[in-house]
Amino acid sequence: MSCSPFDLKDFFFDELAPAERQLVENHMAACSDCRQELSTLALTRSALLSVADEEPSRRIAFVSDKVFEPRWWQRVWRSGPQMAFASCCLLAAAIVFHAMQAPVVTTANQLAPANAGTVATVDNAAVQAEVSKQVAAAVKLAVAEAEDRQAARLLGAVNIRINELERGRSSELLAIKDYLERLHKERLMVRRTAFEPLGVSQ
Amino acid sequence: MDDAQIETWSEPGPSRRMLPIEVSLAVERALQSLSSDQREAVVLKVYQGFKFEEMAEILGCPVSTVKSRLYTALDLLKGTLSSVQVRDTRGLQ
Repeated sequence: MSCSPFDLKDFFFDELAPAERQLVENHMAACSDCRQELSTLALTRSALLSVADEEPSRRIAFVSDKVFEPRWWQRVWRSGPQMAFASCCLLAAAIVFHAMQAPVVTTANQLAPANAGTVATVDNAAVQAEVSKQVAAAVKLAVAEAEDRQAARLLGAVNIRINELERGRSSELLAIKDYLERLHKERLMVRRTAFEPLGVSQ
Repeated sequence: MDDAQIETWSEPGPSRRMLPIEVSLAVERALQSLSSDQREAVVLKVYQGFKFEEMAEILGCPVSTVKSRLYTALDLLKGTLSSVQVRDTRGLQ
């Protein structure tokens, strides 16, 4: 316990008025205990300050004081990974949003390039109707062409078969003709042979 | 305060002079032994050099509370750091 007229710690931290400070100094000149107490305070502060050069604000970062907490924008700015993740999320959202909006514009550009300047105002229903119309026409043309090709192939196959049948029939007719001619000759021969002894000429 | 006082403030008898890293660790341990309120007071007063009125405004409490926290912390630190020898404190005051 100090015998000083004022608190020695206030004196040590220079928190006394000049008159009070003078009184303490006068007392200390005659009091060795107070001088020792002041010396101990000075040594304690020296020990604390001996680590002051080693970045004291970080060394005492465990202090739960609002004064040392970074502002919200400092926390956001210093959080690199979080900022990068947020940027990626925003970019992904922008891409998805653009992809959901882009098909109307792209289709309108393909169907009406002359009206590219006003493509943003093209009605979606009109565009869909035009697309359906063109698709139907293209399908109809493709079906007609396929039918034509099928008919041509069928006609060719029928002609080939007819020619084959005609060739086969002709050969049969020729064979029949030959047979009949040969039969006729044989009959003539038989008849001549039969009537020659009788003196009957054919 | 003068350097002669600092040199003589140590444990009685011959003792080895502590390395700077040892002093640093001892101070760190001493600060960690304080409560958060006491550490706040020590930091604001010793390291930052605020006046009691400024500390009271920063901490949002009366000056008497600030002084009580600081002085209690200093008493604890005096006991914890009693074995610490500080060789050269010139320029740190």
